[in-house]
Amino acid sequence: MTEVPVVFVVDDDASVRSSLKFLLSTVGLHAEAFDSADSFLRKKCPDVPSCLVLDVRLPGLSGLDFQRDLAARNICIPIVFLTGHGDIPMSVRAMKGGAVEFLTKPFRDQDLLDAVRVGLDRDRARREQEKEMAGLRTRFDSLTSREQEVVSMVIAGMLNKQIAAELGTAESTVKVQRSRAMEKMQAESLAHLIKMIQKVQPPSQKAS
Amino acid sequence: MTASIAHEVNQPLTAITNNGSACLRLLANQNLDPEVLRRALEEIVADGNRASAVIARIRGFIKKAPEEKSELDVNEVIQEVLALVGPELQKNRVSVECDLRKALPLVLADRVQLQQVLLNLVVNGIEAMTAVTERPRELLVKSQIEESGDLMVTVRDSGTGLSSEADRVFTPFFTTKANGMGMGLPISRSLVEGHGGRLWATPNSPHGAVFSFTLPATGSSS
Repeated sequence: MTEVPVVFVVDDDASVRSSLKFLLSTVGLHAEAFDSADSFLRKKCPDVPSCLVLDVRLPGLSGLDFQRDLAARNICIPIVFLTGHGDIPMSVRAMKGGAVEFLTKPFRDQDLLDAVRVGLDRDRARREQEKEMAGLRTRFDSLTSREQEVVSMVIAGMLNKQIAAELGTAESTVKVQRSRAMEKMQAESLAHLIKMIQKVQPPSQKAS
Repeated sequence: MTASIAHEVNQPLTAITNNGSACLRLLANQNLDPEVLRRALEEIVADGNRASAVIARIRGFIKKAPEEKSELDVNEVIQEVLALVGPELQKNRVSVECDLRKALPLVLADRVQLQQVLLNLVVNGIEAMTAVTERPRELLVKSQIEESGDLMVTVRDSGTGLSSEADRVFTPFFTTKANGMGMGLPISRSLVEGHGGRLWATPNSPHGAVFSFTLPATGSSS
């Protein structure tokens, strides 16, 4: 199933808003426009890949402050900044804050559409990654605590025999737990298992 | 200042180029519905007019009309301006008090420019008080002679007052009004400075703002 992405446009100028929606529609992109950062925040964002086209000079709250606010709220939507007079420090700040692009008005249509595409791709990738992480997390959580322990020792490079000794069980038991863990994690190989565990398990939790 | 003008003009220009580009794209795909085209063209025309209106407004402000300086009684100019805004004052239920120093020395000034400055300050004062409901809306216009011998005119309101950055109001295109252009005060300041005076803002106590400007006296008196 393909998800229909949405582009959010936040600009205080009605003409700019409607013209951006029109432009985006010509490449089949659906856009929703807002006249302020607040009205955008009040809207419940749909759970689809999205990208934000944001004017830097918003009344009440500058676009850059808004970018920081979004980050503080853990909203990681890619942002394409629009500005009437982008100075270098401003664009540097925006890009450091994770902006996709910083375009000076009036911009070339292709530049905007490219930037929006990059933003949507980036969001799609992030969502994939999150989904993958959530899946890994669920799988990892389905392991018993003993299986998790065994896995931690496996990826630390210990042999079954050593693990058995460490845990005070039989090597055959370790083998069973290990293969069950591999199965539950849907690991194709030891290398695959290690990769997945490293993703879900912060280093501090790894067996030392 | 040029950066701010750029912003004002850039908004309609951005809309124009977006609408134009969108039409070109649809045209290239042979997918341009006449109705869509008509709407886009209407918007383009409206935004073109908007951009030229911005430019016309700026031109109007900075037009170098030949200055006609003559010896003026500032009190007279104050009275003229207050007469001019009489209906505005009434409509907004603003009471005006004048505290005009008698026998004010004359100043060498362009009457129209001086009117423009005073009008701007008085209208700003009125507009700053439209949101005020829990206290009287009072405007005080005062003329006096400074120790240096220069004239000083102050316009004091009981409005919403200035934020911490009082001097920002003199930045071109800075505005707190929904339909403001943000050009009145910067232009007023440049006009006053063109007459060898100063224009500044301070907070009024307990509410509102005070705008003051000075003008050098000529030496002759009214």
